[in-house]
Amino acid sequence: MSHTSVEMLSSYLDGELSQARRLRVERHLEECEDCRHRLEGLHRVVESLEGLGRISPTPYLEQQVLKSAATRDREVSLLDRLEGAAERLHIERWVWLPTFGMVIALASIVYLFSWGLQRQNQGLPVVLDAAPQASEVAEKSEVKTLETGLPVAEGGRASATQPRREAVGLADAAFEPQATEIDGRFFELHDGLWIERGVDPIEPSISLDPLEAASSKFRDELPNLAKLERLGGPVRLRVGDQLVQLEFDRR
Amino acid sequence: MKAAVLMADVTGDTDLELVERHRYGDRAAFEQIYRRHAEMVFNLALRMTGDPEEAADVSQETFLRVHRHCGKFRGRSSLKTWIYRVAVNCCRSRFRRNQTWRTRILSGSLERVEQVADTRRGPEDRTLDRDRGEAVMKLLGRLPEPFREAVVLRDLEGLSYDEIARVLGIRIGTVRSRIARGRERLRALLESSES
Repeated sequence: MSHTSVEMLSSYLDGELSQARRLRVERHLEECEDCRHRLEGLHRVVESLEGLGRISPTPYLEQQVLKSAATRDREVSLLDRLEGAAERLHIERWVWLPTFGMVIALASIVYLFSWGLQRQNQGLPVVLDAAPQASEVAEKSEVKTLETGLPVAEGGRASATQPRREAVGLADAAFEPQATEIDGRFFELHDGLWIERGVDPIEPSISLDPLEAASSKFRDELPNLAKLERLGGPVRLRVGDQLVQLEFDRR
Repeated sequence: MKAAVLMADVTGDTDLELVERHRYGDRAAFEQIYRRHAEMVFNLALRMTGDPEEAADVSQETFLRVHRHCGKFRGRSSLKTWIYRVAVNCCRSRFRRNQTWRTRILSGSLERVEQVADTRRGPEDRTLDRDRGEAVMKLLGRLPEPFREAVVLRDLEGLSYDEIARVLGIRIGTVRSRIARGRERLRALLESSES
């Protein structure tokens, strides 16, 4: 006698059999003790599992879940917001994601292009790196000498009678001084001395060692000292209502 | 859209309405979604892991995924089925990641699960049931994962074969087979442990 498969017995237990199959199984069970025994065994297992009951999660779990959800709400990224908006408008991901990517790429190109144009118009080098040493500038550029007759300011390299030299900038053929930008402040090179734009070259200033400046009360008003040092040579700049000349080459 | 199983709470919101409100950033909607399904998820995780702390972690991970991906729910199945699917996937990921838990499950040491007594039966029957229930819980951990999932969803969570098929993403024939083989293995293990 062939026995009923365990699948059939299990489905019979769950009431998942068609009427015809159910009748066939019941007829077999009347005659087969082994299958009856197996069915009872399956029944005991199901009863034991069903009798386990439900356990409620703790209020602490609820607290943790809702807190994490609230945190996530605050941290939702731009991409998630776009995804949410796309879902509400029923726009498929394969449509909006590449479109979004192309828009970002295009906007970046436009921004970089306009930034480069702006720097060119200001006479600033388009590539921002450490400004070349004054001697390098002299080698690379045409040097125009102007007789200014002005006395050299305190701490400057030139003597009182030495005419100032105006170096031609790398990015501009006109007679503009070498210039650079550090932390939003512009500096121009005048005869080996970097002077902040707008500062009078002959106005008296306080001469300071950079280490002194770094630990002074107005250190927070200074641009990045490491970048200033890379300019090569002293730097004159305004700090509050005080004019300061940092002597980078004294060490 | 096929008809979804809808459940209204005291405020009268159906599951779909709650999902829609959540999509638009309504935090109270997510709280309601959590409260409706927390016990279901926790119990599934508890029966799958055998450990209340692991179950709490799985539950938290499940609801965070629900929170994140609720917008993708289209109502083709019930929200309950969808959340079960997320919970099962979290259990699977956890199982693969957590070697200690895996070892504990495979060794059948599920002593930390407490049971709720069935007060309809007499004290002696309840003791017998409790002992057998504890034994079955321990043995459940020794089932292969596909069988354990099917048996838990059917005999502990009370899902129909059709719902189980949707949750696990398999055919009804496969559901039938896994439930049967899971139960048969438990029966054999139980009989050998009782003899």
